[in-house]
This record gives sequence, structure tokens and C-alpha cells, in this order.
Amino acid sequence: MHLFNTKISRRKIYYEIHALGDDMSFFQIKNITKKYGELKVLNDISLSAKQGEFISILGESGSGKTTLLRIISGLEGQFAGEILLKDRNITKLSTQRRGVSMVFQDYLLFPHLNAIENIEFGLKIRGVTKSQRYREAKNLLELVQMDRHENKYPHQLSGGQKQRIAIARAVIVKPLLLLLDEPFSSLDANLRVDMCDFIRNIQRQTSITTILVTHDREEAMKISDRIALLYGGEIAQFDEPVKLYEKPSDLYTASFMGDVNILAEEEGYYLAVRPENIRLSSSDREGCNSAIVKDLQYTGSRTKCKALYEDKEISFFLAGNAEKVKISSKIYIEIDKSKILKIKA
Amino acid sequence: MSKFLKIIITTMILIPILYMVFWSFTDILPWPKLIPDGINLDVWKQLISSKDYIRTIGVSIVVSMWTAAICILVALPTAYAITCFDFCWKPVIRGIVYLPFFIPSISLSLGLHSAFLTAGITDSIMGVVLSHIVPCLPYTIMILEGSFEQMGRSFSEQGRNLGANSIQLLTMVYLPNMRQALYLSASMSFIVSFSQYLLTFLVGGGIIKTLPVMLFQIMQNGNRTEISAYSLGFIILGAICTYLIRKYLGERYIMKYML
Repeated sequence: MHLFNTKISRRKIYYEIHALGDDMSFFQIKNITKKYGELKVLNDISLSAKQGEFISILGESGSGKTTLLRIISGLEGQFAGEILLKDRNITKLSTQRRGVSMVFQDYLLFPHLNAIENIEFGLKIRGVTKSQRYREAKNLLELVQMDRHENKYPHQLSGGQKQRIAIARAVIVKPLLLLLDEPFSSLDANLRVDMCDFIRNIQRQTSITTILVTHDREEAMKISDRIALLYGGEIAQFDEPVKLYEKPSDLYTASFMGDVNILAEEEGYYLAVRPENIRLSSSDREGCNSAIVKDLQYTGSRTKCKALYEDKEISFFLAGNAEKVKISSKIYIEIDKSKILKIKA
Repeated sequence: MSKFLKIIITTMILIPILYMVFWSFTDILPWPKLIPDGINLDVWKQLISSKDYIRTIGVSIVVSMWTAAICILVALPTAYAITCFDFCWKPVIRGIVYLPFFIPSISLSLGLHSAFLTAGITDSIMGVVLSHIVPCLPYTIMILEGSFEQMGRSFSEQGRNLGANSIQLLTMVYLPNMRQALYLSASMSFIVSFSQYLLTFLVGGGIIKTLPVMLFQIMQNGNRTEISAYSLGFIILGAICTYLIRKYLGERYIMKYML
């Protein structure tokens, strides 16, 4: 079964791009529960993905996200629940037979093989002829923009280059599902941004259904079609990034996805507002409220202002270095009422 | 290591060797002379022309080579299983593997001799090789286990995830990264087997004569020149064999023929 076909012409690679399937049942996990002794690491996790969808599993350290990924890949046993992939129940299949490829956090390129041999590994295992696997590996090397490094060994490659090779190695076996375990965690800040775009591009070109595990909400929001936020081994919310941010199901989700200012509490709900929905007003006109500046944190393009508003500390952003605003001074703020969040307490 | 310590260790190794070199060329040094009258090559000539000595070298090399080869073949899957798989009784298996370390060699030798007598495999090269495997195997397993542990389970998980079965993992992932450990464990079992006296003497029954058995017989004669020359021959031969294992087994043979 080939998920994508490759044609090579004038050193350009065209991948047959599949549109997102509508069928939510392409990949499903149902009621996954995993215990280590008495400790419940995952509790009744269920989620699904369409074909070609990019899902992120987001959560803090210890939330169980890597365990979930290992369960999906078949590297972790002894759990309750079911995993379905393309109409097959793969729960009890070995990792070799699942059609799931995983890119590990530390890439794990085989040190005795050079870049192209590493990429070819999966095909060699499957008995593909030398010329064919070289051809396919070469195509992928071009796709991951590493064609000038085919003979380099892992110790001669940088972190970002290793990751590109690891992705190509995982993709060459044409998996139904690609798993990425914190792929950006060992890269420096600038490279993370590039690699994030790069992975999204590769995923769009190959249309492989992908699950990314990360603790970085910005990465997850930027790259994903949907995000499953894990908290204490349970899914706090599984939705599109914009909904997680703008319509969080609870306070944990609201605060994990970004800064949130609690304005009031009423009938089991918090009324809150995101910092970007608070504006500095020039005068005491109608709809404006006064606040006292407590702290200013300059970050270059904007300044984060912490202020005391009706005995509550709130934060919002000021453009540039906001020279006119001083600590302890009185300011007027305007809250966009249409953007007030109603969050379950 | 400090320079001083290096000098001390080198001196401790060199002094007995220099002593042997000196006495292998000198049969007599009457007091108060410090330098002998001349060089005596008689023992060396006798040693080189002795068919018995050449045959003994051959037997020693054959026995040690077989021991090293079988040890590697047995140790490799054992160390692989102990390190990379979870199974019942794992600590017990590990304990059994390392048991020869804790049993006094005389008990081990007498026990093996008795068992081999019953099995009817004494006085044969096969019997001697099998008996040598017992003290050599724990060293081989220990070195290979360390190497598997160093690589960790991550490579195994990555290989399996890409579709490799256990045999493919061993041959295509682990072994190519274990050249140093394979050479070390082969050398170790070769050297341990090469210097086995008691087991060879008991199981070989004097019919299978290896260099340590021959050396022991010469020592009983009490001729210092002869003892020195044969001992030096033993050391030189051991060093040459270890070098050859490194050169051919460690680098070429494993990479070219085993994988």
C-alpha cells in the first residue's frame, strides 16, 4: 500500500498530495488506560484523526504524552484500550507490523551507517533491491534538502541535519502514521522555528497522518490541525488550536494555552480575558477603567505590562518600549467585552 | 594516570620479562660476575627445532581459537537476551552465567573432569575445548553485555520500529557497533584458554599437551635457562595471537564475513 507516489523530474520532487480525509475513523484510540503499579499514567484516553491530519499531543512533563506515543507505536505494552488504524485493530500487533513510524527525541541515527544508508535501513529490512532503495532514499534526501550530505556519518551532522535524516528514514517505509516525539527539544531556538516549518511542509507534501508530542504550546499551535492537551494523564481538551485558545474548556487549558486574566468569578464560571484584548486607553472615557502599573517587561517588539485592576493583577501588552508608561503610575485600560472568556471553574 | 604510576607499572611488568630474557641466553653466572662470559643460544636452538614444541604450539592455538569462537557464539545471544529482553528468572540466569567466577578453580576443574569422564570426552581436543569454555564464557558475556548496555535499548526500539526482527537487529544494528567489544571478548577468552593449566592437564590427561602443560613439565626439571626461554616463547606467542585476532577478527573478518 503506497500512501504517496514519488516522481522525480529536474531535481524537483512532486508528492501526490492527498486532501484531508473526512473520515474521522482513520486513526482512533479508544479508552487507553496505562498504569505503572498503582500509578495511573493515562486514564481513559480517546482520540481520533482523519487521514493526512496533523495532531499534536501537548502537555507538561509527566503528563503521559510520551507514554501515549509509545503505546501507539507498539513499544509500550500492558495497557487497557484499543488502537485502530485504517480499519485494522493494531492494539496487539508488534511495532514492526503496525505501519507506524516513530522519530525519537534524540533521532537515534545508527552510528555505523552514513546518511543515505540510515534512510535506506527500513527498505533494506523489507528486502527492497539495492538500486531501488538507493533511488527512493535519494528522492527523500532531496525532499529533506540533505542531498549534499548523503555520505556523511551521524557524528558529522548537526542536530537539525540529523533530524531531517531521521524524518526521511521514518517516512521512507511509507507509514500510515508518523509519530514525532519532541522533535525540537534538542535544537536551539532559531533552528526550532525553521524545523517546525520544515516538518509541516514535509507532512503536507507526503500527507502522512502525523502525531507530534510536544510541551511547547506555540509549536503545537503553529503546526497542528488539532491539539490534544493532556493533563494528569487525561485529555483536558482536544480541538483546533484556535478553539483551545479562544474557547478553553477549563482554567487549566486556558492558562496552559496562554496568559489569561481572571476578571471575576460567578456561578461556577470565571470571566477572563486574554492580554491582547486589553488596550491602553489615552483618557478616562466611557468604558475605560483605571489601573496601577506594577511592572514592565520589555521584550523588543512589545512590553508586557503587569497592573493592578480592581484588586486583581492583570497583564497586557504595550507596543514598542512604551516610554510614557511608568511603574506605579495610573493608567486607563479598555477591555474588549466581546472577547471575554467564560471558563468553567 | 600520573607519569610516576606509569613508570612503576611499566617497571613491574618489564623487570620479570628482562630477567627472563637475560637468563634465556645465559646458563651460568658465577659470583661475583654481573655480566656473563658469552651468549648461550643452545636452548633457543633446541626450542625452535623441537617438533614437540611446534606441535604443542599448534594444539594450544587450535584449542584457544575454538574456545574463543564458541565463547563468542554462545555469549553473543546470551548477552543480547540478558540486556535487551525482559524474561522470568533473569537474575537467576545471570547468576548462573557468572557462577564460574565464584567457584574455586580446583573445584571447577575436578568437577568438570569427573563429568567429562562420565561423558567419555576426556583425553580429546573437544573435551579440553569444552572445559576451557566454562571459565572463559563469563568474561566474554561480561564484555558483550557491557557493550549492549552501552548502546541501550533505544537502538533496538528504533530498529524494531523500522521493521527489524531480533536477528536483523543483532546483525544489522548491534554487531556493526560492537567491533571493539567482539575483539576484546575474543582476545580475553583466547588468553584465558591459552593459559589454562589445570583443566587441560586433567581433561587432556597428558595426551592433549598445550603450552602451559609443557611449561609446567619444564619447570619440574628446574633448568632456569630452559624455563626462561619457554616462558618467553609463551609470552611472545600470546602477544602475536592477540595481535592477529585484533587485526583479522576485530577489523576484517567480522565486518566482511559475519555481517
